Amino acid sequence: MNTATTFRHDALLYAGLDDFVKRTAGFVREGLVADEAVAVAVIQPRAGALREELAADAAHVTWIDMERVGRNPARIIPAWAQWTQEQGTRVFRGIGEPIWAGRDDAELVECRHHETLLNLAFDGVPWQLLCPYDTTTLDAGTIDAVRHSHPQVLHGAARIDHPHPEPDHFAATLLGPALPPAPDHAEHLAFRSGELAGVRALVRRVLSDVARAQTNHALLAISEIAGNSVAHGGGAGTISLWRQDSYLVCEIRDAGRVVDPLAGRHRPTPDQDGGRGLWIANQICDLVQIRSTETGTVVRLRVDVAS
Amino acid sequence: MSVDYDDGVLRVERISPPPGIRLTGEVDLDNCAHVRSALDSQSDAGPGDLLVDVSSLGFIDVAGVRILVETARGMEQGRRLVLRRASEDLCDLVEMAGWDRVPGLTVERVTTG
Repeated sequence: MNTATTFRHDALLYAGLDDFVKRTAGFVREGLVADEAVAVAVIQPRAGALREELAADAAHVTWIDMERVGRNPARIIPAWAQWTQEQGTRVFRGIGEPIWAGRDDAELVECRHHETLLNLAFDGVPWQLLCPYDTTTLDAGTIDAVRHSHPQVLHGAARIDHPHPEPDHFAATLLGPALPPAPDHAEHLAFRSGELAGVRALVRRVLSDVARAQTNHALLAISEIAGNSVAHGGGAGTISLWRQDSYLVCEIRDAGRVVDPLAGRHRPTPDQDGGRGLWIANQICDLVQIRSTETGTVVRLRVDVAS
Repeated sequence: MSVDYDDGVLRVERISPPPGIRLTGEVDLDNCAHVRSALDSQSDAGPGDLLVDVSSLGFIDVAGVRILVETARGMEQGRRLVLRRASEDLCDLVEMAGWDRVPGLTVERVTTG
């Protein structure tokens, strides 16, 4: 029997598409044979190749579009939380691929945090999550980091055990690594209570060439984080804005402190009081980076304003 | 119609009938208290639904929507707070914030074309 009694978070190191299909199809079929609910969250071409291999069995799998959901890795835990809660008393397992070739450095940092935080989010929830990593396209540092977040790494026929991540590891996701400095052409503005309209005016000026829908999305995400500074961050903050390729990058600093490593990953309930700002920023933005110590908090948002 | 508040960013007008308010401009954490006080005064104006005309609203944040949600929740059984001509952005925000099924709150999406 392979039924999980607690959260089992394994990394699968595979070599290329054929190896991916072979290894993951076995994991899916094992679940289906045991009448477990099975979900697969991977990107193309692997989703298509696995569907083809599973043939008729593919219809019994929940397919999650990782390219859309996982664009911002902070959206993946809530997606798994929702799917797992929907299973009721049924046993369930999943395949989740948060890291793929083409992710840039900032995304990779947050994806690693995501992989670590899965262990916190699902502590005590009995299910198996298999995270495939392609050794032929990902760099050695990315593959090496897998052992810090996955208690078991499957590599070829070997199964290598590693220590379970602990509370210190979860807390560390809010501490670093340090964000690279803002570029020289960034615009800066200090704001305090009563000056949020001025923050929006700056955003509109920096996005004067951008379509209205994209501008409105950026305005909402930035306003929520700036509003957090006013309400919880000492009543004031500093915003820095710059364009980077197709992105608007916005950094907001204040004197507040974020202590929950899963902040922004809890789907809001209708009755809860606060805690919506970071959630909404995560839904809108392609990347949200939070760094928080006793001296203050910085939240860096990245929004694609071209599409 | 009477202007209840106007600071150049947000204008709040009382309208009737049915009783309600029209919001023009931008609602945020800084000015949303003025929306609350206008709604409070209008909710006593009659027994039926309370209308919020949001067709000229350019921006609203979570703090602003929270005022609308709390007002809707505080209304007597059978009365509703109706957001009239809500933009797609506002509808999306209500849903993202987890407030799309609040009893007493009705969001009427603006029809385009």
